[in-house]
Amino acid sequence: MLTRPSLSSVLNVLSRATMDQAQAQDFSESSARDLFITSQMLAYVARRAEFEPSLMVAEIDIYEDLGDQVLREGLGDTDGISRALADLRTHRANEAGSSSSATAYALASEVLCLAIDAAFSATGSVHDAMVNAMRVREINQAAIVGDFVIGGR
Amino acid sequence: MELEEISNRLTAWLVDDRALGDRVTNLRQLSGGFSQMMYAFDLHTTGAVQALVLRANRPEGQSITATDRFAEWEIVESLSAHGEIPIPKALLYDNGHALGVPCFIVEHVDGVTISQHFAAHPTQKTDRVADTLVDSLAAIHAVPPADLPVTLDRPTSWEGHIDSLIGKWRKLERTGLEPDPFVRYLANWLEANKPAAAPMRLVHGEVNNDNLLICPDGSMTVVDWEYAHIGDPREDLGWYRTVSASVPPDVMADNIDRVCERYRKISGLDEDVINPISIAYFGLLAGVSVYDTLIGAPATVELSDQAPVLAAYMSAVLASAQLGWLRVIDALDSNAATTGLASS
Repeated sequence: MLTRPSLSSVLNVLSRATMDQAQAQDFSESSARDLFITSQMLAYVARRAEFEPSLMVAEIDIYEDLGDQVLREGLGDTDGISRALADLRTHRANEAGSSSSATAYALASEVLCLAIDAAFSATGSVHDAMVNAMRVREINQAAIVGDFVIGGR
Repeated sequence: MELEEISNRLTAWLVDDRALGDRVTNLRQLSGGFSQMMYAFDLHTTGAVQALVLRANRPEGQSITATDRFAEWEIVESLSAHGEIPIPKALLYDNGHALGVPCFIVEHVDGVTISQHFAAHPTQKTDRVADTLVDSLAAIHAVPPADLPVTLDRPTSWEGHIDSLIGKWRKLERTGLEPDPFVRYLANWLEANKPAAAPMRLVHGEVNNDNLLICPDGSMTVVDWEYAHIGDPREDLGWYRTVSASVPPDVMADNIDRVCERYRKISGLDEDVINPISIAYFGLLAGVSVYDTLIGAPATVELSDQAPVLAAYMSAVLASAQLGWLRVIDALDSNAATTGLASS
């Protein structure tokens, strides 16, 4: 999932864009496009707000386990993965509030990135675990993307 | 900038400074200008009216992309002079004196985009348009690099070019506000699945249904050259398919074998180079230029509540695009497993 930009930042932009259109003197093709985009984004933001927190927590655990597995196998940049896991665990030990969850998710995502580099060309259970982690991320992101369609040109 | 101000500035530039006409009328913004501002207008001269298009950078703070207008102009001008490339005729460039932002003017093309064409004719078969698209791309790819502006980067080798694109994916991923495992996975997959090499050619860089105009005589004109570069010609074929999966129609989809055969016949390239799998590979690889646009959007939104709504939209486009990349990888992996067709 993509947790940035933050929900509050997106809502600020959408709010202002809607207000601009409401106050516009004329209604052009680009006005219609901006309203189309704004309506899509409001639905997208609603799905993020509903699903993101619980999905992030579940994914963080999976990525952390994967990082440990890669380390046990001694694959890839082991120093980098050790540091990334330590950063994640330190943060989680001090975690409080939703913004911390987004930070924890970013730190866990870095563990996953390093695990992908380490395990992509490997075989066996560590490769399967990496693929599974990616599959979970994909399924969760698909829930957030929902019926968003690229368009509005 | 309001329409009236743009019209006044155009008049000052074209009529007062350059004496190219008597007056500017009928200025209107064109849709489709996600990246740059596009306006159509009429320039009146004694006894004639010339339909033109202005292409300009968005003002600072409203820009989604940061492409070089002069570099684009040089390519448009050089292809325009070439005479055999389906492109609007280049007329005039200004570095910011006229409108406050770099801009250029080309002739207006009387045509509709592929998107508009099939919206108006939803049941029409796509094969003839696919043929015209292949012919247009093959013509663009046939331009000898020596005929292009000297300022255009020339990759020293195919392998180096491919590695640089993969490296660009990896480098851009590091510039985002958060790590992106989808991109990391994609980069590893691209490294492990390189296809056979092709000659380096002029590549449009953003071939999609909104940048392809079908003219009344059935011919095609290709617009929006901001991502043009020298690279592998399959970047254009692949990128068209990738984008069209999200913004249909994909006129190649029902005709992919015909498309490959026609392109091979025109270009002289072999089947190990031009085939549906290698085209799909380049659909993924070539996406890096658009990823370059999307990756900065979250920061733009977080830095200012005055950010354009397009910037917020780009974050959702990126999330959607990532899912598309994985679908393509899955399909290619399945194909390789089923047919034994693997990359070189």
